[in-house]
Amino acid sequence: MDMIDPIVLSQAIIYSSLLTLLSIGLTLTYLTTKVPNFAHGSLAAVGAYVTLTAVKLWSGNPYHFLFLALIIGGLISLAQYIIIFRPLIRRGATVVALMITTLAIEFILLAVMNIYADYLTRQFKIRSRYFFLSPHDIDIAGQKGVLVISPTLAAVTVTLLYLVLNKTKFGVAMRAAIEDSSLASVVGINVNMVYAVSWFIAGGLGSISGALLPLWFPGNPDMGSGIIVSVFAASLVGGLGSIYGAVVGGYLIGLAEIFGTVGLSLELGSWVIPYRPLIPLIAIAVTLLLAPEGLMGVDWKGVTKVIWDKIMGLMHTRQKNRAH
Amino acid sequence: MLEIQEVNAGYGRFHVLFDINTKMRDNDITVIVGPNGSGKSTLLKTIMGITQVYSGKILFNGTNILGLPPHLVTRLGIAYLPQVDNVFENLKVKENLLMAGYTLGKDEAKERAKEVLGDFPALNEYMDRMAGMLSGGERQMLAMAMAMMRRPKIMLFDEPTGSLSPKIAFEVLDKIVKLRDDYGVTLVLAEQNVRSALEQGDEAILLVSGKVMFKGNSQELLKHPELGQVYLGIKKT
Repeated sequence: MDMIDPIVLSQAIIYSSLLTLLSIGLTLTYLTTKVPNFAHGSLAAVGAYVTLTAVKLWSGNPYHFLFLALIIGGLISLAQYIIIFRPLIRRGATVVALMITTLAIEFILLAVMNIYADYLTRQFKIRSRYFFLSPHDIDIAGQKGVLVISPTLAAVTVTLLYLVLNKTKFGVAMRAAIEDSSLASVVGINVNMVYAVSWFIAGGLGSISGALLPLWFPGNPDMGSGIIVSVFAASLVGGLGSIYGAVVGGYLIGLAEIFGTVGLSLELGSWVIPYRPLIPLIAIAVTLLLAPEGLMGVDWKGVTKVIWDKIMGLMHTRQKNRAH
Repeated sequence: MLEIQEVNAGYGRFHVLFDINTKMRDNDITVIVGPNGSGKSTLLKTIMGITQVYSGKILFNGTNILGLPPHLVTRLGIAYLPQVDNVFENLKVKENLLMAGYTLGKDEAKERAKEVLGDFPALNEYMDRMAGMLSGGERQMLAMAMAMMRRPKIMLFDEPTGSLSPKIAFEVLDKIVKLRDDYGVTLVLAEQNVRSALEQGDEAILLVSGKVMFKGNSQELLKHPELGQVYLGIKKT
């Protein structure tokens, strides 16, 4: 068997780590407010343009501006919740209405990003379409910085989320509000505040993810629309009801997309590459058919028991046949 | 004192309560009874700010609390124990208690937890168990312990004995009455187990189709020649 190309491996690690950050955010907003946010991908574009602007205008490497990307992405996401979704939810908007609203926001953000990209080019002569930030990357232990920082950031985020959700009062309140917002409010938890914080975190994570993407993949105003199917696939495959499911889904979909496309293009030819978005779409279809609640919703103990029983049954039958 | 004045409330366009006027006096047990769908639960939810109020006033110690979000009503000293989903099933018992004391400081919460565990000692055994794994009676005890964490002035119980066996229901009701006797908490009970609740209660409100049909002494309602039989199925003894 051929060795895996290190460039493909790097691409897979970076892509799946950043996809994981995006899918954690999407899952968080869905868990708290039940909004399937199709505009979530555009926060990645926001992060990418924040970093591009900062790197070109103030110099420095993209990692210096990750916190800025987190704050700006977080604030845009928070504004979406406070100005648009909270009033809609209060008025009893259905999930379909909320979903259509997110599509409208996606179009608005896409238009704003396009205008901003044009502004950067005209005003500062910065290449703002299909741009890469890789020339500004740093080396860490002989590797591209993004190859080390992306998975580290994903691991740190998951660890921090675990600690916050399980070891802090606010985190437990977040879990309580996710489980039963009505009961949470009658025990004194300010559910709106909890939701607002979760939207901020979701936006911040999406924006950080986008800030790092152009270090390997081209940045463009529509990069959010391009990646949103994969983000949804990651959240659905893991299970929209679980933040940890988003992590599992993020890596599964990310790795499947990169290795699947590269593998198929080697076998069948490069014509398959444009069909890469089919991989997350197939993953969504298969998940909805076989495990609608995602991998975290599967009763793995039960599944393992059924498989074990089948294997034991087969072995028993074979032994019987041999004895005869 | 909790005073409800001319309250009309419901869910969106679904009008449930019509011109409700009543008072719940301090240290009393007020029992709200009525047939299914009469608006008992809606009345409690309206006090908590969970329903939509079209008109009226709800005065708590003279302050109108209408329009306040539930978490602020709770912080004023009103505790509400829903009929179902009254504990966080996916949280441990200790996490449920932590959430119940969400508005308290760390030391105060610890102190209160110690106190309520003294009142509900059985919970000590289940601190690390998920609340969803508890039995009906244990859940109700946990819900009461959670409410007591905040040392409320008023506790609103929505059918606390609804899904419990008669023996456990009796124990729960007994515990509820003790809360009033030991801590001076004003209690409001929306109940299906009419006879035992009315026997324990001081005041009673009979709701029929969202309107107050009777308001007065609970023993009086229990002995009423028609109302008890017609609306509550109380047989004459």
